Amino acid sequence: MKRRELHLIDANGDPVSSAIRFAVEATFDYSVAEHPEIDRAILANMAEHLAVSMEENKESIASVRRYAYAAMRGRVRDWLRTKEATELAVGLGPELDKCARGSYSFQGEVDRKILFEQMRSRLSERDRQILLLLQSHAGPADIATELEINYEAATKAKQRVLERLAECFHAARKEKPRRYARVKDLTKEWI
Amino acid sequence: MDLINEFFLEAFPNPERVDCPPEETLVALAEERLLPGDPTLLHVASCSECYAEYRGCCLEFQNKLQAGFEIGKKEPSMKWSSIAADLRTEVPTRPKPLQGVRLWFTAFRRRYSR
Repeated sequence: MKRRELHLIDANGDPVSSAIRFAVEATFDYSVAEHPEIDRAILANMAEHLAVSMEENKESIASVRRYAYAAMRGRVRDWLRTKEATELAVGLGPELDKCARGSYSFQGEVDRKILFEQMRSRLSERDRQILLLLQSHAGPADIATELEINYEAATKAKQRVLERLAECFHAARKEKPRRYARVKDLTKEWI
Repeated sequence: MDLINEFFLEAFPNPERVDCPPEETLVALAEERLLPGDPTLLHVASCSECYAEYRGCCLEFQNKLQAGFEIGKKEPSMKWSSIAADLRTEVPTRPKPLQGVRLWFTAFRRRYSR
């Protein structure tokens, strides 16, 4: 479903205001890009409901765009929390699981939270800034310009951030086998 | 990088939007219009809500660029009206440095030869 196919109308069936339309279309595009595992039709439905509710409360909304992003993120998060149990991942390959994010489980959620906490405690504000730059495909030269340091210092800083990240991931990896061993035994008992 | 993306999206919740920069600043950051060393990037790296908005702005900017590129790439149409319009438009071009000096000399001569 393309962007222009969003049917954005209010509760009376009239088209929503242009500011709301632009904000909702932008947030729909963003959600489609961020969550390729969710059906576009579901996201479009969420966007349309969002437009209706925004049009109803438009007097109380200070920033239309900011509200749209926050509300859509919330809706998607709620949907992922509540609807994932009813979803069936098709196929058994790890690529399919990855694509469909079949690993959305309580255990996975907790693991991810722990990992994020570790990353948060190990990475300083500056490290996070560098990580953000790296994520937008910036090289050491861009990092040097942004942080107003020389090229060598930027290269070292980048290296340090990657090392810290690797430490976090390594620690998380070490913990895995113990957990899965228990699950394995449990399955044996059942069989 | 998906995990890093999720890290920024989830690890720094700020629902009250404390110390968040205005919308325009985030758009400027996404469009790389801010000066190096601007504190907005630091904030975006510590606020999941702003990070999500920033990502959205980046996506919008990319789409805008792509749309602009496609418009620029469009082949000229073979309709008479558009051809006539193309012939009629004379885009004033900036003179090259040497040409500029020459023009200045000729204007100077004309002015003082009288």
